Amino acid sequence: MNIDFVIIGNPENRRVVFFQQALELLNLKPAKVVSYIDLLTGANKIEDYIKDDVIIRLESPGENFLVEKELIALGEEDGWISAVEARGLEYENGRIYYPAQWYRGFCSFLKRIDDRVNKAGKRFQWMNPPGDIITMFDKRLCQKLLRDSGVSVPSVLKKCGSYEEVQEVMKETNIRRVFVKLACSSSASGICAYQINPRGDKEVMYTTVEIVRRDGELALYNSLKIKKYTSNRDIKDIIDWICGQGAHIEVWIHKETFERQVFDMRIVTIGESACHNVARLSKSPMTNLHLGNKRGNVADLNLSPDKLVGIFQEAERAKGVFKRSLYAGIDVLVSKGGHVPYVVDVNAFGDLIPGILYKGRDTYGAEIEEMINNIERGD
Amino acid sequence: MIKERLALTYDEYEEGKTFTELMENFVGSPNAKEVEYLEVGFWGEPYDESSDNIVKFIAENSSKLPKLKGIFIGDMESDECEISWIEQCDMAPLFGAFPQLEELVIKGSNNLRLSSLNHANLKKLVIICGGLGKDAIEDISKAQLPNLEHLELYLGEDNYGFDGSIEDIKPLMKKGLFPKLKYLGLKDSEIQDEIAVEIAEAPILEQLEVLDLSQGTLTDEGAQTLLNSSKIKNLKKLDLSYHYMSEGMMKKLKTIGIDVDVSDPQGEDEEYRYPAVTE
Ligand SMILES: Nc1ncnc2c1ncn2[C@@H]1O[C@H](COP(=O)(O)OP(=O)(O)OP(=O)(O)O)[C@@H](O)[C@H]1O
Repeated sequence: MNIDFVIIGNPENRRVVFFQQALELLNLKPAKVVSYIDLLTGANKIEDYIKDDVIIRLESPGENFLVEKELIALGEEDGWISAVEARGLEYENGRIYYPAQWYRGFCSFLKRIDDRVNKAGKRFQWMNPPGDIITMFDKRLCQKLLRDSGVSVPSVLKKCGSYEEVQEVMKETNIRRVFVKLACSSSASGICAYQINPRGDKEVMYTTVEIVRRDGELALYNSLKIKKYTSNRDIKDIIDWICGQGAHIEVWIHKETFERQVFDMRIVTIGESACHNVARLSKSPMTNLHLGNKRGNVADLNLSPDKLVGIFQEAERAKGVFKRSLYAGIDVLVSKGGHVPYVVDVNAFGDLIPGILYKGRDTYGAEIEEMINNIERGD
Repeated sequence: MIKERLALTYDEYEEGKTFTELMENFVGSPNAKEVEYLEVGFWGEPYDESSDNIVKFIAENSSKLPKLKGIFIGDMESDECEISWIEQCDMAPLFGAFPQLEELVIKGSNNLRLSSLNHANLKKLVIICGGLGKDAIEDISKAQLPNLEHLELYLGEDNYGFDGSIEDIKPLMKKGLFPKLKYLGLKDSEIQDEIAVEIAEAPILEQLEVLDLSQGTLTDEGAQTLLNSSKIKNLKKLDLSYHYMSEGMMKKLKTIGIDVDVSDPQGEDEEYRYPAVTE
């Protein structure tokens, strides 16, 4: 078959490589790759790649510091730093720079691309359209949309602008344990499991955020080792910082355990079906695999067949909120004991789970097949 | 072993169900008289309400639990309640009510006591916590447990309740304190080196099969005295997993001719920062 794929991505990234391999396995010709950096700097135009019947895949812009800086620069309006300052940022492993400004830049970029593609006046299809990606990337927007569509999600606390407000709301609502999340981030960056103890006014936070104070300023880093903070000063600084960037705060659900580790599930949902899935088991409240946590088989978790069906349906329902998208990586956890499923995240680029096959295909292969089936059916 | 687990699920707790209802249903059920091991998990707000009522309830209903041989109070993960916040109580009523008890495991140590502990059949006592108070340590060192084979104490750090010193731990190293003791765990301690130094030549090693000094802050300093010890080779196993020893020390320990677990080193200089992946 003669289908043209275009990938907007970071060409050096394994995600792009895996997608090309999947095309090859299906005897399709390689996708043309347009790099984020070229589009951002104007070295390349997306219009030049749009011809009739092209399929466009937006890949993750992550793991490339030049791209990160350009996106922060693009988000300069009402931001923290100017475009010039953004371009002058120095690389430091793990450093978290201005995530809200980054997100703004990413949104502008996606809107611009969307616009230009539309204006090219050709017949084309997105695998996942920019508008959906924008929504999925903002946990506040996304979780609200899920809730309004009847998907089971953890209860959300009302909007808080500071540590003090978080305290107030927690006391008012009698909720002692929450997840405080950077609203626009992923891969567990800026995620905190936070609890207060009304007895003796104690508090404790488990987080991937490492806080460093340097010359009176805060620098934040992503830490692979979960940090435990009990000092009010650290906790307050972290929460204030997240609130400043935009916080999504929700009830901390007791996750079910398997062999003394808590778990959740990443379920890649393609079209309308929950397909590839993997359990993520952890001794800490964060189960993300890159933090050194263990993969497991969803089938081995001692969940009843009924509950399993319910879990997959919940993932499909969440995916159903994004009908125009071909796929999404849905994170589902189940409560301890009752096994009620909760969708905690919808990841636009959540299909990178190497080695996991469904009906003989990896995620990329399965997405491509679904895309082709759609075309053949004339959807 | 017939086990029963009593725990409020997150959803039940949200709906206002109480742990008392769970316990009453359980002891009223015909299956109670068969149960040999009882696990008590999340009971609502374990950081606020102590286990006192639960312990008393179980003790008062001992006649309905004739086969009970093992109890675990506080079987929950930190995803449910911060371990160092779990409010415990004096476990004395359990020992009086269950003379046939063989195993007691406790997780969490706030206000934990084991006062006037005198029990003919207890074989295994485990306390898992962030920091064990010296009152509780003293209760144990004064206890009469002629059948105790396995004693495992997470000693922890002062932030989370360990208010003692090596002087409070020493009495537990006395040979014959528990004549049948085979497994001694003095672990998860912020003074793990001091403990290692103190126990290295202690006569109690002559009666033990397993010495567990894992999960703590053990460095080469403590490890060296273990290495030099004339008694350490009498053990079957030395558990030092999760430690701060050097590679060289780990190698030396591997050669002493007994089973030494040196897994899970906590090397300081590893790089733990990661660039965010955008997905
Ligand atoms: N409300 C909650 N209660 C309990 N655990 C939670 C909750 N929300 C998130 N988690 C856990 O925290 C971790 C990170 O969650 P989340 O998916 O929200 O972050 P993320 O940065 O978007 O990560 P990813 O990119 O993998 O989706 C996961 O292990 C998840 O199971």
